[in-house]
Amino acid sequence: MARFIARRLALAVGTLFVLSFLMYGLLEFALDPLVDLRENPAPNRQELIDNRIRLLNLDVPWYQRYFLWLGNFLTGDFGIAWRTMQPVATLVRGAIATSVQLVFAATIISILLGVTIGLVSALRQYTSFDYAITFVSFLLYSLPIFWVAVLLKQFLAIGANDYLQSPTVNWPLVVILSIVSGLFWAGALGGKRAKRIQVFVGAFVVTLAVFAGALLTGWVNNPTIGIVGIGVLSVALALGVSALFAGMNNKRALYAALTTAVLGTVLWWPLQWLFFYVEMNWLWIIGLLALSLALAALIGWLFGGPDRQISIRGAMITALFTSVLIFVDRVLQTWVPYNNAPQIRGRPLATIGASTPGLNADFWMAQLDRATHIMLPTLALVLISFATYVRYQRGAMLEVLNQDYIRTARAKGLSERVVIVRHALRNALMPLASIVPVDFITLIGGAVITETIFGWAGMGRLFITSMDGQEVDPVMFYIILTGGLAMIANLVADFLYAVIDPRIRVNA
Amino acid sequence: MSKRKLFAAAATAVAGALALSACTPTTPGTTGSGTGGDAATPTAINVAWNQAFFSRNSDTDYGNATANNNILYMANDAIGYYNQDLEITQNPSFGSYELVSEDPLQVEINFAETATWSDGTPVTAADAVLLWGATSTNFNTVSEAEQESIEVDDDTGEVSGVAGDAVYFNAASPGYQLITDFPEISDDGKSLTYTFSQPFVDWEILAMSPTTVPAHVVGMRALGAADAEAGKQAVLDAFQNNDRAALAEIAKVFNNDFNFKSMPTEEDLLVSSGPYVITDLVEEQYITLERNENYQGERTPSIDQVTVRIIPDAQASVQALQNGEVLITQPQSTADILQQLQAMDNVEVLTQSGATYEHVDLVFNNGGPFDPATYGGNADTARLVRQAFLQAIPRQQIIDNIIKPLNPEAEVRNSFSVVPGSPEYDATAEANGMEATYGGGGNVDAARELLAQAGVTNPTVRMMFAQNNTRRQQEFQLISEAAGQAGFTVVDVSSVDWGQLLSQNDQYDASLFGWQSTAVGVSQVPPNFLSDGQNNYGGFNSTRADELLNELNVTTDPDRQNEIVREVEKILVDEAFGITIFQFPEITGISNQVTGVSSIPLAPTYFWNFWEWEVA
Repeated sequence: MARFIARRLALAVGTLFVLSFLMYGLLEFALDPLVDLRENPAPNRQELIDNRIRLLNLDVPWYQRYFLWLGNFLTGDFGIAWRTMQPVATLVRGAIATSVQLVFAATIISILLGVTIGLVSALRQYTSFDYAITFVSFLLYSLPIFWVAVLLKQFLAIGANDYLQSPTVNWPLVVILSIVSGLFWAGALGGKRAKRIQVFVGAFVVTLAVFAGALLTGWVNNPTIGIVGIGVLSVALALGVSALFAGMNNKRALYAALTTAVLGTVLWWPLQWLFFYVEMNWLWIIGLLALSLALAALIGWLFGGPDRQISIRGAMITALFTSVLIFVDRVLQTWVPYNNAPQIRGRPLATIGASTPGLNADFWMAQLDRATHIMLPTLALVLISFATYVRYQRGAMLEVLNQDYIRTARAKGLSERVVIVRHALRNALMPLASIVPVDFITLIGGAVITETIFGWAGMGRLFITSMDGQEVDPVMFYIILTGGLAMIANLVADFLYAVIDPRIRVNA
Repeated sequence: MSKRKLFAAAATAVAGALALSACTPTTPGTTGSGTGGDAATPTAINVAWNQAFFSRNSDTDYGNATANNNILYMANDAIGYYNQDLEITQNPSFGSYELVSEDPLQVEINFAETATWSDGTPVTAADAVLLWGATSTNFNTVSEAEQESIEVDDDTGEVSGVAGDAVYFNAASPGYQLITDFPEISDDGKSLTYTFSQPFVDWEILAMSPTTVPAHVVGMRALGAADAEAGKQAVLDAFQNNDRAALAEIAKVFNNDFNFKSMPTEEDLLVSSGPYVITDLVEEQYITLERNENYQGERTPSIDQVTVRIIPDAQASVQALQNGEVLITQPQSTADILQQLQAMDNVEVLTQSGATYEHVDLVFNNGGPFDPATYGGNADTARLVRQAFLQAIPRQQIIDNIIKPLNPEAEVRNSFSVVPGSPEYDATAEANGMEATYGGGGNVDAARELLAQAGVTNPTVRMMFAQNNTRRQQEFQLISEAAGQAGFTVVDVSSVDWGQLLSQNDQYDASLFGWQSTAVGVSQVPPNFLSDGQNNYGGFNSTRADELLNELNVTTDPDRQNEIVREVEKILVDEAFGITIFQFPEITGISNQVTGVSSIPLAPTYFWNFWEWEVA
């Protein structure tokens, strides 16, 4: 094992060295730090050029400069972005944080959504639902992000803001959305014709009612969840989680989840006072979340039974969901003052930047402000990246479903739910271990185009700005960082796979 | 449990929940928004710019960027500024300047009583001395050899490698370099007189904004002075006595301390003399300026808070304008962007000329078609060939096809050195004869005739321009087509490294690129056309022009300056030096929520009259 790691690390270091040398050389040819001065007609141009040559050691051949740079880099000195005289170390600190913030949510949502839809698509193989999902995911996958981003801004920010100024119900659109929703659920849940029709009608009516209710009651201009909403949604989720992972016959698991949902809903009230009297921060929020998960675990454990794990898991999922709802509810309570703030002026959905300048916001409103800014870039990233997960997961699931042990499981009379959830799903998720670490670590590299279009100052933007500014040091840092992390990610993926799948050994 | 009981329980639960939610704390509104009730809500405006602010000191080599200059234009006051007609307008509330004598050139600068830094310290001669001393390079003691070893420390951004008490200001101003004697300072410290060692044409541009960073802050930071008064005195003394140890410290502060991309912890770095002070700065996101409470000058703005948001992407800034997130934007101009802006309700679009102009230069000394040496030293033949080529350049067609879609009012630029729209443009364009000789260009017949007259058939012209610039590729297409009809063979030698290749004029015979005007002044003129001028890539050489340009370098009388410029331009046209084509178009989108906004071709573009902006 140790030999394996050592060999992989040595290889990584060697690769990085060659990579950095080649990139430095290429940058030397690609960038010209004097380019702006050449077009400058100022009488003292020669002095400016001399100053810059001195600043950047341009009188030294590039391979010597490379070793100067390498020496500095290895001693923890990452150089400067000379155009602004900012040390690279301080520049990247902010940029990495921004990139992770931007891409984190998008990656999580893409994985959850993509994996779920991929699974369902595999279960409904060769139905019109499957074909529709395949079509849509390929369509989205092939869209250029700069175009998607511009359209999203136009319709979901500018258009939606215009709409919020004077909301009227657009009935044809609402009906079309309701039909799509009905078709989606009918296709996803499948079954006999009668059941599909039933599901279609049900989903159609529910969607129609939700849209109409939200629009007609003015909910869109004052969106809240409230204790009633939290209660209803939590109980619904508790039922769903139990049905899916435990089966309705496991009463202990069902009661554990339901108890958690009810307790969470009741706790909403004291929490409002806590939020009122104590200035919140992320430490508090994470602490409260941990507390709620611990409580849920306790509830699950107390209900006990032969299979405690299932009860505990169900309760914890419910608790997580309810906690998120309570958080969102509190954030939404700042909607009206946020909307009326002089910096917002009734146009809450933003197209640019990570926050509203000059907004006088408390913790909760700051979260709302962040949400209105992060929504569009996240959506754009999700739309084009979730297709990969859909295809990947569909393939993995189909492969597992054709295995002998699935046939055995069916043959011995297990219910379809148990076959799918226990036997197929777990094995179908294994290949994710090799792609998720890579995806997560490449987050730090940022999303170059998305960041530029949405005005986020992350790693991608830093890279582009530095390239435009002919600054070698930040570009090299970017290359080393992304290159290094990619190698680490692959290493981690290999290990994770070995840990999950006992058939694989890393000792080679 | 029967169904009825279940419903009853559910109903009770819902009723209870509603009752509970009724007795929760009321959501606090925007916490402490504004100054609280009695005062009107502060007025605020967001505008877009494509590059982030990064230095409070725009007088260093690297700090001198539009992104900084725009902000500092609002944060620092000046004696003079350009108005919409590019005339220098005086601002007596900050100070005044006066030409005391022409030989030697002496300029007196007076600071008004109302000129104050935002911390309450008056603006005095010490502040001006600091700018002069730092940018004159006369105090730099670092020799050429020593300069080789200077490095910028990467962690702190500090200039190091400067041995001991050696002085190194990373700044250079051609005008201040000519002031070698310490200026004479009045007793009250409110005025000073600069004496130039030789005449400097653009003295007025220097005198327009005589200060940069506050001397007292530099004095306190660099020399540990106890208060503002002592800080000013310490800086004055250091320069007056050429105190190397003190100057070395001052130089470090001047070079390094004022570079920041996010809000600095030390507030003294933000002290400024103008109507606004910087109050918030988020790296690569935005910079906010608020009304300077200590400002007593004339340029009092109506808006309390100006935020410049950083939006590098043109499309994004246009959509931000549409969404009301910014109220003014000046995106890089393309036909798509303009169309989009024009399609918006509630947005006014200004299309006008920018600061950069496109031109074609010919090479005189590379053995090519425009070099007399090719024709056995026959200067007339070479000139005829040059004139033929310039006649063929379809200037009007280029403008109609490429520029008009962006700026419907675009016109052919007819002067080598005067910005269209500036007071001198019309007279110069008339005097130099470019319009009369070439008109809208594309005169294929005239070109053919000139070639025949020269007795040259089918000369080959290698044309260099930026390969990655689509606009120039289109221009090249039009030029090579027209010149082809006139009997030239035009070869595309475009390169992405065109900037580097400009000085190697054996690689090309004609070049197509842009010069950017940064001021109305004339000191930019001689380097382009002097026979040994640094921007005279084509090897143009005229004894008379050299005489005139050298005279221009030392002429301070504006009328004589203009005469010289006109005469030089006449020579350039007669000798077929090259030709100017158009001014780069510039688009400004302005929301109808703000009034009083316009833009000028020179920096600070649309910020020029920020104090006249009003938000609805």
